[in-house]
Amino acid sequence: MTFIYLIVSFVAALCADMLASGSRITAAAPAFTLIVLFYWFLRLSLGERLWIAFGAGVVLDSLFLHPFGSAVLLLALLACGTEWLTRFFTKSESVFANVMMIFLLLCAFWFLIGPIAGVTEWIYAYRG
Amino acid sequence: MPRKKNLAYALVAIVLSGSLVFLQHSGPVFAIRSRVEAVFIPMFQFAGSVKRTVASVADNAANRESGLTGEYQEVASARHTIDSLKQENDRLRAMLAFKEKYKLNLKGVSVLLYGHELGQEYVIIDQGSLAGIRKNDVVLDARGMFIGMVREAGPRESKVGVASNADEVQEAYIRPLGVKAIAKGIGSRTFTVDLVSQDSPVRQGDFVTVRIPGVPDDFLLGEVARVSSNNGGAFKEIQAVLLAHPESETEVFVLMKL
Repeated sequence: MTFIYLIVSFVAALCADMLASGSRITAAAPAFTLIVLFYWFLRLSLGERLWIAFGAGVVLDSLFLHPFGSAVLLLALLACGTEWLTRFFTKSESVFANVMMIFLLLCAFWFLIGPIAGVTEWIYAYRG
Repeated sequence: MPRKKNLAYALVAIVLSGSLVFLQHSGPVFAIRSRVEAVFIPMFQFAGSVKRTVASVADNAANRESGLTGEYQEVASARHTIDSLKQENDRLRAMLAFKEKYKLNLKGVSVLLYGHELGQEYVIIDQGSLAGIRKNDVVLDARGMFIGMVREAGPRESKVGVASNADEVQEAYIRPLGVKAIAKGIGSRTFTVDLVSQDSPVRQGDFVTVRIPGVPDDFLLGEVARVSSNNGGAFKEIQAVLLAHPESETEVFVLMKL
C-alpha cells in the first residue's frame, strides 16, 4: 500500500510541477516532486530508497535540463546520505526534524546537481 | 551486519547509476528511457492543455470582472476565440513562409514544456533521436528567431537550452554594421557581446544575429540594450537581450544537420 501512496503522490507532485513550470509566480518555488521524494526517503529503508532513487531519477532526468543519468546518480548518493543524516536528526516523528532533513536534502540536491551534471557531461564527451 | 548490508546496497546503487551514465546509448538503457518518455509525454501534453484552458478561463473571468454581462460577455468570448484563431493562423502562415523561404532541412516540432532550473531556461520538444534530432541542432521560432540549441536528444523528446543561459556562447554579428562579435549568455534573457572594438559605432537598438554554417541568412538573436565604453580597454561593454519568447512558443523548428 505504501508504494501505491508513493507513486500517486509522486505523479501528483510531478503534475503540479508541470503545471507550475514557466510561471513567473512559481519561478523561485522549490520542486514539489523533490519535496515529495525526500519525504518518502525519510519513511523508507535504504534498500527501498535506492530503488526509488533509481526510478525517480530516470523520470527527473527526462524532465530537467541536465544530462541523462545525473539525477539518478545524485539521488542514489542522497539516498545513502539520508542514512547518515538520520543519525543527526533522531528518527523521531518530530515535524521540525523531518522538515529540516527535507530542507537539507533539497539544498544538497541543488548544490550538487551542477557538479554531478558536469561529471556526466564529461563522461559523455569522453565516450564520444 | 546492517553495516555490511548497507555497503552492499550502496555498491548496487553505484553500479546501477554508473551503468546508466556509461551505457546511455546501449540498447537496454535506450529502451528504458524510451518507455519512460512514452509514459510522460502524454502527461506533458495534458499539462499543456490544462494550462491553456486555465488561461482561457482566467481571460473569461477578467471579462466578467470588467463588468461585461449577458450578450456582451458572449460577444467578448466570441471575439477572444476569433483572436486566438487569427493568431494561430498567422503563426502557421509565418511558419510555412519561413520553411519555404529557406528551403532548409527544418523539422517542425511541438513544445511540450517550458521550464527553468537554477536560472537555466529550457524547452522540451516532442521529437528526439528517433526522428533524427541530434545534440547541438539549432532551434528557431516561426519568425526565424534563434531560440537555442538541442542540449540532449532522448529517443522521443529533446531538451533545448535557451541561448541566453549562462555558458552558452555564439559567434554573432551586430547589424546593420556587420561587426563580428561573441555573444555570451549570462542568464535572465541577457547576453554580453564581447570583442567589439572601441571605435565601432554600435548603438542601443542594434540587432545581434547568429550565422549558422550552410545557411545564407543570419538569424535574429537579440537586441543591443546597453553600450558603454570601457575606459582604457580595447573593447566596448555591450549587453543585449534575447528577442525570442520560448515561454510562449507552442511550435518551433529544428534545423537538422544533413
